[in-house]
Amino acid sequence: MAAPATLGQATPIVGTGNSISHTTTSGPITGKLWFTVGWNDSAGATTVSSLTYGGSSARA
Amino acid sequence: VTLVGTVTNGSNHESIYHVDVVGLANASTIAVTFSSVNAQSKYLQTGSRPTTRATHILTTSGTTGTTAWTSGSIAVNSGETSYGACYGGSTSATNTASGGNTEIHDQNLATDSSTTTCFQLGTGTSIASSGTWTASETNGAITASFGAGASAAPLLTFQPIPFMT
Repeated sequence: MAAPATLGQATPIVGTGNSISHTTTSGPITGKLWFTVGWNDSAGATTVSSLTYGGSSARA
Repeated sequence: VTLVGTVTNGSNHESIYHVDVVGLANASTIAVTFSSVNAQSKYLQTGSRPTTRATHILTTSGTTGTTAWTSGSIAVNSGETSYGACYGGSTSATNTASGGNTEIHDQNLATDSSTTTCFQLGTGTSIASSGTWTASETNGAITASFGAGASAAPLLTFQPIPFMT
């Protein structure tokens, strides 16, 4: 079984900007794709608004 | 895309999502949008495994407040993979993975935070996503296990036809 591969990482942001993105650096990919999202929000936002890959809409 | 779970420690959050993709092209854009209105740090990290199916099995999470962080342990069988992450939300630091984990990503902001992602191949024992920051901070860590990634069932099966003489 192949080990997970690094697909790149978005530059973290600090500010009121609410959108982060990056592009995959290998492919085409057929298999499992993982996303980890971390954030700090003392105002209480406990979920993200949306997560998309390759133009495919994901979840809110 | 399926949300595995979110760990929260104060105002810090770390989530894992997963999806099975087929033929996702190189240079595809991956993007996250937040609803936050605060000027506070945010990260997005991504990894993949070239299999066709890898079902989510178990999840656990934990919070710590030291240099050492851990998600807590889950049983990860041989052929399965654990995938985890930690959000260190109180200072800038770099991570060293521990407990048999391999680090995939390690990022930080000079102002206030750090985040890292790691994986480990299962051997049938209980394992955790874990590591050590270079500075003590408030941590929220989460880990999940995924199946061996068995190949998709074939759509067509061809049977030999007996040749009759």
